Amino acid sequence: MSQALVELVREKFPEAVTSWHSHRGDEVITVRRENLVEVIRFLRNDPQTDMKLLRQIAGVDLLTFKSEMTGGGALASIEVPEYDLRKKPHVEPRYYVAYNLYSLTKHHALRVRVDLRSDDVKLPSITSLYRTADWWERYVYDMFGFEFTGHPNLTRLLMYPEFQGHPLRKDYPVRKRQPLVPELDFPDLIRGPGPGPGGAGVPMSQTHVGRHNVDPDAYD
Amino acid sequence: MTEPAPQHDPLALEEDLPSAPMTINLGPSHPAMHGTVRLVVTVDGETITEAIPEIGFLHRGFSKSSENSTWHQVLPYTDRLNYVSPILNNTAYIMGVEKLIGIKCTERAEYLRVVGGEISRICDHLTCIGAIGLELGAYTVFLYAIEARELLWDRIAELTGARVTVSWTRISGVASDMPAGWEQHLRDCLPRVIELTNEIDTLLTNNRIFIDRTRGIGVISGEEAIDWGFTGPCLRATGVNYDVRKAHPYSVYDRMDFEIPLGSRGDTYDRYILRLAEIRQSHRIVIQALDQMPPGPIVTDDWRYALPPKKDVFGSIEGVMAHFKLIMEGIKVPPGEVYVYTEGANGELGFHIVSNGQGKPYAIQVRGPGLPILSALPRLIKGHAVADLIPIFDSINMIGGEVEQ
Amino acid sequence: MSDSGAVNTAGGQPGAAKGQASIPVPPKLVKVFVDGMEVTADSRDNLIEAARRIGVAIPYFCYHPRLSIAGQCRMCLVETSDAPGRLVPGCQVRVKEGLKVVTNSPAVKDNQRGCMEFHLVNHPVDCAICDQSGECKLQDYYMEYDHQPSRIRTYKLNKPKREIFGPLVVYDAERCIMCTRCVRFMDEIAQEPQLAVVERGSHSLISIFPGQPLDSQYSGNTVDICPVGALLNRDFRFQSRVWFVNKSPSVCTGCSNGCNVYVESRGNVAYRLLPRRNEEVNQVWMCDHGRLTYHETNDKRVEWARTGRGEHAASVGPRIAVDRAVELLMPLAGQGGVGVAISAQCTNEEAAAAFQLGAQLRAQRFFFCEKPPGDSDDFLIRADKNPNANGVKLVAEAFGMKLEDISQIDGVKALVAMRTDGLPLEKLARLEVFVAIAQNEDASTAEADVVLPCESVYEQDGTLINWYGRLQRTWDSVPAPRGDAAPGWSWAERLLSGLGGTGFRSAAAAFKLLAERSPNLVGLSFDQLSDDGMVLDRLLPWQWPARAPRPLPGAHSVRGPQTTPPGTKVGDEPSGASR
Repeated sequence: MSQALVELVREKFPEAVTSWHSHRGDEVITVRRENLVEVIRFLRNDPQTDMKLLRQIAGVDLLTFKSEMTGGGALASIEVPEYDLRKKPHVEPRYYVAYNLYSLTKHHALRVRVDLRSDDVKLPSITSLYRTADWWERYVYDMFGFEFTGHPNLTRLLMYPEFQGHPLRKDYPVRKRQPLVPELDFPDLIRGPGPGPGGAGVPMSQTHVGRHNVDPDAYD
Repeated sequence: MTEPAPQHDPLALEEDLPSAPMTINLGPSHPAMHGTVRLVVTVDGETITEAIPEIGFLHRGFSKSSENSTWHQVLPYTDRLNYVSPILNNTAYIMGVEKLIGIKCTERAEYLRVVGGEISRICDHLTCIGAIGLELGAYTVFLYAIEARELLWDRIAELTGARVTVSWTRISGVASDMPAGWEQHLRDCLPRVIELTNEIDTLLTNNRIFIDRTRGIGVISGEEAIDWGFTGPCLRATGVNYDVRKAHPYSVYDRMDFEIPLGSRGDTYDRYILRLAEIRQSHRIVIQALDQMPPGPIVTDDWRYALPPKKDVFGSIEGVMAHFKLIMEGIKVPPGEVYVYTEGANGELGFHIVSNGQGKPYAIQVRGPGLPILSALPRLIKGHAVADLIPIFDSINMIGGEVEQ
Repeated sequence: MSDSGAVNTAGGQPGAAKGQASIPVPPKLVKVFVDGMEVTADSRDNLIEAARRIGVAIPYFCYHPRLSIAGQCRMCLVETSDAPGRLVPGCQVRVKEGLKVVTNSPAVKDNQRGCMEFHLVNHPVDCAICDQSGECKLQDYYMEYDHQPSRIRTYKLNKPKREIFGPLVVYDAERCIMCTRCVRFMDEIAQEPQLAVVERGSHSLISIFPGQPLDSQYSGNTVDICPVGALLNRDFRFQSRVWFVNKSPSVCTGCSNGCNVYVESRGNVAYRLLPRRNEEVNQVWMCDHGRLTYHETNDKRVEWARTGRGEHAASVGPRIAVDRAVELLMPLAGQGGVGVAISAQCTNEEAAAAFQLGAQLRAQRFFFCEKPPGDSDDFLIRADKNPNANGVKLVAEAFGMKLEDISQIDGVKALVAMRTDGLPLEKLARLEVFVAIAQNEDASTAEADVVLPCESVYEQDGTLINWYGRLQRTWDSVPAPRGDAAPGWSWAERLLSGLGGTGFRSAAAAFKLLAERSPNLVGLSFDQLSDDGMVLDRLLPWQWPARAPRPLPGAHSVRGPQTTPPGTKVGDEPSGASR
């Protein structure tokens, strides 16, 4: 059923679809970034496809796809000439964004992929087509840093605004620490005469003493 | 003779009073903001004009953590996604891994997963209904729901070893079979659960106050709901018939006879009624699964994917090597990418899983059913009073764990 | 190509023992088909190497690219078009133009599964206590080719376990799959035939000769090449599981050969050294003395800075120690009594920083100290037991300074030592001021007024120059901090800023200065140094260092009778009394 769907899209947009395959029953097409919006608009609106439900927008970073290994110590021994721990992986295209679409009437599903290079992570937003794309695109932006042009409010969704970096990228270390954020104060907040340190109305951060305020990168 | 005292016209008074829109912060530490959500609502009098949800307080890095754990070590993380119905999460994730490997679950384990999953679904719906009742002032409803949930959690604890954080499914199977006497015990306690559900029904369904507070509140049309990405009870309350168990039957749901309740108006009342009806349907499914369950193994005997039995681990070199490699390096899942979707308690629970052939997932992203529904919350509560916010938020049953991973 | 006397095995060429490099066949390219895919292989390749060229893995136990062919394990059997209906060993058969090889047919897969089953029939259930877990070929091939339960319903054969073969090697006969890699290695590469196969059939064992332990300096390599946990490193035994340790490249500091190594560490503890492949220096081998040099990174380290001698000694913070050292040195600077001692164990960057510090102190005298020389051979062991004597001399030349021997230290009032190897103890007590940047606690650091903890070479980025003039770089292979230890150039920088100068803030900066000043390093940049190192042509030795001739068999150990007298029981006793 979904195979016919792929054929339909390829017929309609022959130059947009760069590759397609099926894996374990999932149909996937890869389209060019320039044609993304029109392909998805077609999939949504055309009565033959009628894919009105955008299930998810997922991002994937392929940087360590080939080099991430668990175990296999004997298979990766010094006898094998190509085994080199210090090879820094470099993959292009490095990222892709996968849109999982579904039709509630036709009961077929399709995954539309867009490849992104490591130096060029902009792609068009489809918030004009699906209202649910709003938060999914914000999630992908938060986690990977892709810019969805045309998004009404592209801000971080899960992380706090002062967060630095994009956590789901493969070069973001699992145990990376973030710089400490000074306590924000609300200037128009009316405080009562509370018993806080330093007297009423004084924000905590000015009186806070301790190792936390030391710059961790300071020499010595 | 004195003049009569001037009449105070309340409405006239209000028109004279100067008023301006006020921005109130609700949460994240708020008893009604389930799953720690912060809502910044702008109200004009009592009417909500704008609402901005802010989430991320429960983000625990599920995707990043799962990239650094073996396939089985991810299971406890999935428990904590939708922590009110963990067996459904376990099942969905493991189905994704099985799809990537191309392995089938054993038949008995399929039925066990259905039994455990539907019990979890009942627990989730009971929690939701209990919360709706609780926050509208019907405390008794909450206690009844919790009593029913406790009965079921006791059964789950006997089956899996834990009440909530079960980590019960395994690749092509489940971790533990029904203990002796468990099936009868479950059959004995289900009528009590249904009895309590009926009590809740009589307390709330035709209750004037409840109807007034939930009818016509938080209305959304089916088409708009689909555009917002709704699935599950919130979508079915609008009248759209989409349940993954019927549309794309997985596991052994095609052998079960059950109905999909549908609402008509898409308001809070319909969402409540729907969950009540779904409890009864889940009960039907559990009984049928118990009746149909065949004997057999509960996990595959292929040692590439399932741990060998302990007598082999301690007694033979093959067993200990298989055990060793599976635990230390993880199960090697062939490379590929899948999107697996099941009917979770709140909607379509999906996992987008990418494997690069190693013992750890390469990338997992959860499609939590609550995320699209929560994103539509401002649309649902706009124009309603602050007091209406509470039943609307309860009825969408947003579980923080699955929204924020 | 370096003439270290090592056997050269370019091209993955299998061959007989000594003449591996001297088969006078010119390399020729041949086209073969592996699993339907075309491969351009060298004519000297066997089928395993040909398949490896396109990433097809043919499993093997007894084959090793640098040893002779045994054909014993039968795991590499594949189908070829030359021998239809039969399986041939992939390690023995050479490629031929147009040969078609099939590695995934049902017959091949069944053989692989069967071979694994046979190898495991008598294998003990030892994974939980065997060090090889995590890097064991049996485990990996079992999961890959034979994930079936065991079919034996009887007892397994018992053989001697925990046999001490030599100072570094212990043997477990039950785990041994008789691949004979160790025997062939000792015969062909180490050229000290101390191992042999005894008994036959299922009772076969590897054995040492009576009265002759496995005491070759290269015995540790047999542990590396043993595919299972039969031969194990006594030094590393039970210290750590291999998946807990992180592997990181570096260069061995045992002697001036500069064998490339991997340092396996966890936290701030180094657990072992493994040889790293470098065809021109050490191929994939390393000597036992070098393997044990990681102990200096772990044991008796100076961890915290210290001021004061004897009972006034106190551990202090780094800034206080540096201030104290500056306070002691400043009045003596320029007075003519200051000396700087630089050890041949330092990296080039540390040496450069020491010279810079000496210049700031207006020191007139620079001393060269080193570990005492030892024995050498014609393979990997050099008599000079310091990794960077050449490097320190190059740095001295770059700074235009003359290096004196450390024994000429009389007359020096204040000494700053960059590493304390080989300092003459009795003369240290006569110093007024002694500032030591030291890695290990020893008698000299007890004499120091200020001791600053130095990171070992395995823990810092730096460069070393070996006896051949080869510039190799090291990395921060044990990244977790140990106390306040820092590289020597970092301490020099702090001392310099206390004295009013500026020092290097990174190894790359130090190297940059050396590249500017030394004609040998012109144009080189630290970040672009290749992982394999490079030979500095102007430093090629005029004559090879004195090399001891190969010892005659038995020349260096106490030996018993060369033959076993008739009537002696051999092999039946469980713990090998006849060995």
